[in-house]
Amino acid sequence: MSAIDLRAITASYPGAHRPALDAVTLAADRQMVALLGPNGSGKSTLMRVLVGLHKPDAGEVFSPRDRTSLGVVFQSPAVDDLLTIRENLILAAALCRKPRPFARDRIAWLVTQIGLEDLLDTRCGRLSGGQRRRADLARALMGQPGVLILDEPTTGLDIDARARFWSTIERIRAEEHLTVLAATHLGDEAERADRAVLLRQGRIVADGSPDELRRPLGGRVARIDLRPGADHDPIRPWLESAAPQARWWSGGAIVPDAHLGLIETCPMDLATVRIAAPTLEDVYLWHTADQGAAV
Amino acid sequence: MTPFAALFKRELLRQVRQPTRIVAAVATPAMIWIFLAAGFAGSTELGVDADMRAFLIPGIASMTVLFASIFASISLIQDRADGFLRAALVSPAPRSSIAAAKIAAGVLMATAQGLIVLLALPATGHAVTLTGMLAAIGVLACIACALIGFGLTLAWRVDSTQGYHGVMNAILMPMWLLSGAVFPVETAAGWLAAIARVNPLTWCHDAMRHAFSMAPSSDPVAAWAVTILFAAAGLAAGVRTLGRSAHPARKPRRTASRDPLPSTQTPDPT
Repeated sequence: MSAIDLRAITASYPGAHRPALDAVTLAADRQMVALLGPNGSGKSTLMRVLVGLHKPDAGEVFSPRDRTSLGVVFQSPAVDDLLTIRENLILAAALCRKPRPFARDRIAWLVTQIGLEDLLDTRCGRLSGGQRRRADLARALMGQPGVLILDEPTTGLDIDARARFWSTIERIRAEEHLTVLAATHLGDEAERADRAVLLRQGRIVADGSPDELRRPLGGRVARIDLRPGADHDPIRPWLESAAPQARWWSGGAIVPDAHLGLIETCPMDLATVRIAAPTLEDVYLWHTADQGAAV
Repeated sequence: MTPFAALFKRELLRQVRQPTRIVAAVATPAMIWIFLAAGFAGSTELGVDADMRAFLIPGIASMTVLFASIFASISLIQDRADGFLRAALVSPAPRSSIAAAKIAAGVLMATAQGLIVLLALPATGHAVTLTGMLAAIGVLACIACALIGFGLTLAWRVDSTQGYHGVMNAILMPMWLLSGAVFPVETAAGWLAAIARVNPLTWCHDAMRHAFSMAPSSDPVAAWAVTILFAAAGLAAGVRTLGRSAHPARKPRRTASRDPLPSTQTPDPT
């Protein structure tokens, strides 16, 4: 059985007009899976179902069956600011029912891996945002989980701290053969994953490796960004004839299989055009743009 | 270390690392005692075997416990806001251990703070025995257990500390005032005495006054029975609430997160 095995999960909140998750099936084993989707797409609900904080209306969580194999990093760090990192980690080990000698060895290993050796006896309330994130990661890993759930774990971190966070995850994942499920808004973070799953309105709309997801967009993608204050309407006739396959989003349009001629004909006073190899951000835009609005 | 022991230690560490909470819980009741005792000195015929300064001590001690209990149970809302509660709930630890640890640590701290007030009793000239003092400490622990347990049950359903404070004050202050804390129930108007007799805190005060030989008219066995039942009910309510399998379905509130990918809302075609 896979480390993560969810089948036909439907979940909803009281008063909502549609389910937060609609028959979602997901399995993963020893992979890093990025969960992409706009706000309200169901990413956090999927994680809450997975960790047992939300009971699904239908479907079944086949794995993980209990909480002993789970480590969870939430959007905001869950360390206690009044305790030191060491005290937080000892507490996390106790909550996972790990004996003291295990906790001592695990703390020594984790702080070396995560770079917290000099901060071990500092109260978490005195740490920087990046340090608290790393302390929180150590907390989540104290029980030596088989599955690590990351819910937008780099929220509020600068570029350097983000890169450091992800390289730490990759190192520990390789060492401990972890299955990682990471919700993110960021295409560049999702590029690090073995596989990306794209959610839209509670349903999986794309699932595959980053290369597999990029392939349908062709070799070149054009991003047409409206200039501030510009309207879609004047550009619409031009794009209808120049790139009928384009899809609109609020800030402009995205064109798969783009040709370089778009740059020459684009009304530059209204919009800018960038043509490049497709990224997961383009994949995200392509799948989450309203297809009914395609020109 | 068991999950309960680790969580109990955390609660104690959090309390001692916020000394202003302890000062606030003790200072206000102490001031109220000084002002009430001085204000009523020589002007009140109590009808019990104690002067006003001594008579007020059990009620003031329970008020100290009441404040400390509010602080202890409000920590559940803070834990939820800080994210610690989610981490504890998704850990393999039994969920009931979270409530049990909060109640146990809260009872210890609240009783210790109430004891500070009780220690003023000999200074009023009222004779106090060791057995009486130990019994009164037991009553304070029962009050704390009940108030923290019921407080956790309420805190589980309330999202803001302000809202929780408001509700607790609206419930607990009248409950305290109608419990014979500042006047003997025996000499109160009939309707007031009737209300006081259905208030479990009244029986807790009676149990304490029996311990200090202040001779309230109620039966000591009944006073102790109600006190212990009150504590047991609070403990059961708190442990049962947090021991449930999941938090009541509630859309998770987002933290202020960046959303660097553009909105994909369809532009209005008109």
